[in-house]
Amino acid sequence: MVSGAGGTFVEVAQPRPREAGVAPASRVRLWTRLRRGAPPYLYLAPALTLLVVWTYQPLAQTFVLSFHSWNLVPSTPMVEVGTANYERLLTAPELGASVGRTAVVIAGMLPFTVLIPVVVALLAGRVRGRAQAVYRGLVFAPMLVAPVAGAAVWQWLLDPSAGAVNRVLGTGVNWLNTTGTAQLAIIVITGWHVVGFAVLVVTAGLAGINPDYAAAAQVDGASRGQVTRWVTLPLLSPTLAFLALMTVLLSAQWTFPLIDTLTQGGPAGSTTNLYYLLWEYGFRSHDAGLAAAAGVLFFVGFIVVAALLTRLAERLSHHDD
Amino acid sequence: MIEELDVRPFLGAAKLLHDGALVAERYAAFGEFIETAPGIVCVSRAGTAPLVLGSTKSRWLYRPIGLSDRRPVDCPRGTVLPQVKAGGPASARSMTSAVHRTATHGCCAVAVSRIQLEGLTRRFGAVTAVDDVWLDVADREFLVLLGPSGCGKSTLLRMIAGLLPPSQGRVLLGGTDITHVPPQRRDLAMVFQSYALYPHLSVARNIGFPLRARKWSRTDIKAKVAAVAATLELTELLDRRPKELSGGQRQRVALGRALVRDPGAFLMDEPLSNLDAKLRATTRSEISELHSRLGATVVYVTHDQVEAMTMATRIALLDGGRLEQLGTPSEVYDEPASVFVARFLGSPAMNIVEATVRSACGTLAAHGPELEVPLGIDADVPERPVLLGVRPEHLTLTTADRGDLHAVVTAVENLGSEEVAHCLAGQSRVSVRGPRPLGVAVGDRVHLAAQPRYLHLFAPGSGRRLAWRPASVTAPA
Ligand SMILES: Nc1ncnc2c1ncn2[C@@H]1O[C@H](COP(=O)(O)OP(=O)(O)OP(=O)(O)O)[C@@H](O)[C@H]1O
Ligand SMILES: [Mg+2]
Repeated sequence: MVSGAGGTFVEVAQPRPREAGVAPASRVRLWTRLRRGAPPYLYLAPALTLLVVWTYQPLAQTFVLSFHSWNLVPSTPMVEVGTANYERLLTAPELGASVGRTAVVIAGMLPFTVLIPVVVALLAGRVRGRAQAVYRGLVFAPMLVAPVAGAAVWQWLLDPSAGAVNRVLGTGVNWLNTTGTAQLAIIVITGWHVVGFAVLVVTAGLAGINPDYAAAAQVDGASRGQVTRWVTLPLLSPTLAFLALMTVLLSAQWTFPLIDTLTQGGPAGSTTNLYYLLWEYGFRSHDAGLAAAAGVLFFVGFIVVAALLTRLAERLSHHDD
Repeated sequence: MIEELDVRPFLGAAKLLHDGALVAERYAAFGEFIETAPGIVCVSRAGTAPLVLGSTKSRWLYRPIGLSDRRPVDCPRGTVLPQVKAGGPASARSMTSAVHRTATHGCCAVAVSRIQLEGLTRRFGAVTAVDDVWLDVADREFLVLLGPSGCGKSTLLRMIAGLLPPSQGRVLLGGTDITHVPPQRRDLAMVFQSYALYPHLSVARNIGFPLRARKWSRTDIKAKVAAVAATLELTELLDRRPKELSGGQRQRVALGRALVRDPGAFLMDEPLSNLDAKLRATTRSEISELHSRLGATVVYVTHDQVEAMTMATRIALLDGGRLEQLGTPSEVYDEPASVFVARFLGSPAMNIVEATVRSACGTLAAHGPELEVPLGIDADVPERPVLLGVRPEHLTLTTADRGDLHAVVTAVENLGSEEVAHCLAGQSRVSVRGPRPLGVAVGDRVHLAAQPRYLHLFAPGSGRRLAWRPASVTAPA
């Protein structure tokens, strides 16, 4: 051993800033903070204003109105009646029937908003090039026809004596004035109207699915049908859930212009669904309080349904990342 | 009598697969499908005696091998497979189910998974993504398709997989033309760059997907998935969804989905590109090991030269859709066929300097500004311009009088174990790589030398390699 000059091992220090301590966070002045934070709210302001003026304010007014009796004439005063409107509404026999009819309309619309669009969009996906655009255009065209104009044409087509529908089918049915067929006619015409939009939504949904999944499934040995059933449709389920939600919430609204022009809720009330009932209360019977109560009730009811459906849709959908 | 028949020619032409349609097709390619006597199923070729494939005596003729090792076991003439199942395989469908059963019971047949590409071309409008590629991938080969981004590697792989129809050319698998066979019926597994794991299915269902498509029973799928998951250490993750996995785990699931079906060949499109450097290195060796264990044919796409050099049995270098060079890793590194290949492989890239080859005193040398490199060839040829290439690690620092190349150092890079000096020789940039410290500093004038065997010459116009062919002494008269 060599006993030379003494020494010692020193651990190499970890790198650290020479001046220990954290620089103080500079306080941003309130005015600066406001000025920086404000622009997003300014951009939102026009939309928010419209939303408040056209949606929330009427909603609040409806709520207030539902506790009053009023006949829509500006000169007559509103009389406060407490919950009488709600009591009348819930004991009215036509309410239950119209809820049932609304359910029928929704069930009848689902094929047009989910089933047919999926089939059409999948088939359109197999068509290539310009033919695809033409095909999609044809399906989407009815959406561009104004509902009332479409209704007029359909009234003519469904005419009991000279209508094209009866001539083609070889029948003599008075479609719009028979209790059994009026609802069916309304559903088919509304379906014809919205199917293009639904196809567009499904097409967009399909376009959003990474084509690698279908390619991988093909290489894995899945046939075309299997790829559709096992890969494409499950990945499309968020879109389908969205369409189903739209159908449940909006079917009654979509049918409204057609009912109003074609059947006015008849014959014998067989096409009077929730919305039409509400409208009849307000603008036929001039019972604004009752109509407002119905509006509030439906609003709450649809909120509950929408919440349930959204929950379900979230459970179903697998986010594709 | 069954025992009298030689099964070997049949084995050479067909592979018993899980997939019924392809089995039928392979047999059909071999000959006609006939039932000679009640319950005896044969294929017959024009001019040869019918070949018995099976009989109602519930026995199949083929070569049994273990699942763990795909190499064919030598077996005597007319070897009969262990009991499969009673019942006459009189049609392709029942034959398939019998084959399937055998496969699940631990035997599988000889794979003939040679992949041949004949003049494969793919155009997208005016862009030619793949341009007249001829390739012959031998059975059990690990072929790496290497090239820069956008050179058509993925396009080529998708054409092999059947996901993209070629504009021209043919794809052959095991000698059978599969150009127009849909991907479902090609016996190929593919690992996608994005992994393409089905997001709505659990890991177990992802891996089992190919078997489900082949209509395996639930219990068979479960057993096979468990086995594959065990080899890939995925057992704990089987119930998770892909989005709950890390990148490396996803990569293994994608690999598992390819492995589960014992495919004829694997196609992999940059499977490691989403992993970090360390994981990439381990996965690289895992895949290599898997390849040697399975003895499967692999076509592997990458733009990473390290992956290519370490994993490949052969590398196919692509540039602008064209095949630039095909060879073993050492061949493409040591004798690059073009300037593109030379500069693509190696880091830093090979130095390329414009020069003129001149003969002086009976030997050849490359001349240029600040440059006079003897080529070590004794010959007398007319003067010609060339591109002179030399790898940075083959340049050595030397003294002024022994230097072939004189340059000024412009930058020095520290790589840890080595150093790279970037220099300027005349108008050309030249880099030198050597053990650290190189002992040079920015601004130094350095003198470089290279041994003639490390020099590469390329034609200035085409960029192709110039090989020296000595005039043959025994030229045919
Ligand atoms: N569907 C397509 N339509 C038009 N051009 C395409 C299409 N697919 C690929 N190309 C073009 O073909 C060429 C080759 O593409 P490819 O995807 O095969 O490249 P790559 O070698 O796989 O690149 P990377 O390493 O980036 O994945 C590119 O120029 C690309 O733009
Ligand atoms: Mg690619």
